[in-house]
Amino acid sequence: MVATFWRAAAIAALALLAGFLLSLVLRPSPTAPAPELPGFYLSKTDPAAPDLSFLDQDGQPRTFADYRGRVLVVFFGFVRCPDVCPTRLFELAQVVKGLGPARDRVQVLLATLDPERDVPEVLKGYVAAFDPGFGGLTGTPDQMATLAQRFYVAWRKAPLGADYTIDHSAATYLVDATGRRVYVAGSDTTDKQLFAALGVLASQEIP
Amino acid sequence: MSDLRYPRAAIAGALVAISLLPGVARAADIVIERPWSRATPPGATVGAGYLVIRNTGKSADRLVGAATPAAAMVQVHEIRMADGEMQMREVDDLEIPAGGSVHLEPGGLHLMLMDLVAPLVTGTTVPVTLEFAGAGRVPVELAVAPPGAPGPTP
Repeated sequence: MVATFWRAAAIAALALLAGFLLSLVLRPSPTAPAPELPGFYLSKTDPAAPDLSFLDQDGQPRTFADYRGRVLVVFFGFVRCPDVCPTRLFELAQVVKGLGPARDRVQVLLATLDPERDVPEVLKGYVAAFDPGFGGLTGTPDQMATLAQRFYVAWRKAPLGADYTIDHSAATYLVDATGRRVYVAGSDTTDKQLFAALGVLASQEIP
Repeated sequence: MSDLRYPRAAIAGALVAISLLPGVARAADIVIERPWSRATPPGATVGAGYLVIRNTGKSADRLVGAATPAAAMVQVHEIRMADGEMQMREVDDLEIPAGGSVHLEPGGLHLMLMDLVAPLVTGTTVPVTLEFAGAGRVPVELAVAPPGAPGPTP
């Protein structure tokens, strides 16, 4: 009787232990709590959403999962933007240069809001002028509209003489190296805070 | 003696009056400082021009046009933040107040060089002719800094 009780207890304990260990393995990543990044807030955007796909600057079909292991700095803009986009890309190049060895774990991406004009080869040459390591995201108008929507980017084409320009919110987004979390810079976030945030995210262990 | 005194005063008075008339800024009243631009990366078909327009005259003037052999068209654009969006709009008529200045600089006003004939190259200059309502045509040379540079190369 007593032996049966202890056997049952041992089996229950083993089952509990096995369940606990299994839960560690199966727990949805990311497991670690999101780090506090001054100047940034955690977005509800899920970069792993199955309908987020695009082309990179080489015309390769991509999802954010393909960039796993690298922290992404995503900036929405377009090549035919003479002032704001070059200014921001120049600043981002300065920040990234200062990272030292951690630079290899950071990827800056210009996500175009003008995919009809900004085909991969246009985007590639453009971003490389700011830093040879910079990349770009483009795709069909639908793909880019979905991407912008999921990142809560407000944008629209606005007429400019016989041409058009694109009004857009100009926040900087960070996708962590697990490809699961998105951080958004506030309107007054400094590049010093961006530099610090990249340092934290680039040194995170990837589960 | 008295015959000569009055005409002289009249001429002097007329000159003062003319110089005070609005829109009679002379070319010498418009001074351009720090004219610069940024090299354009491959694929970019537009460039920007930045400068400070100082009006040393006694009447306001207006920048009404600009042209360059380097681009099909030049417009004055303003970047502004509205409803959380960066917007870029054409400014038809840019007033330069008497005794004041207007800064065209990144994130604010700029000359937009549209449909560039060739990419703008760091270290070169781009000739632009500015047209003012009063001062007429004022030529400037934009010094080209690297892509996205925050200011002209010293």
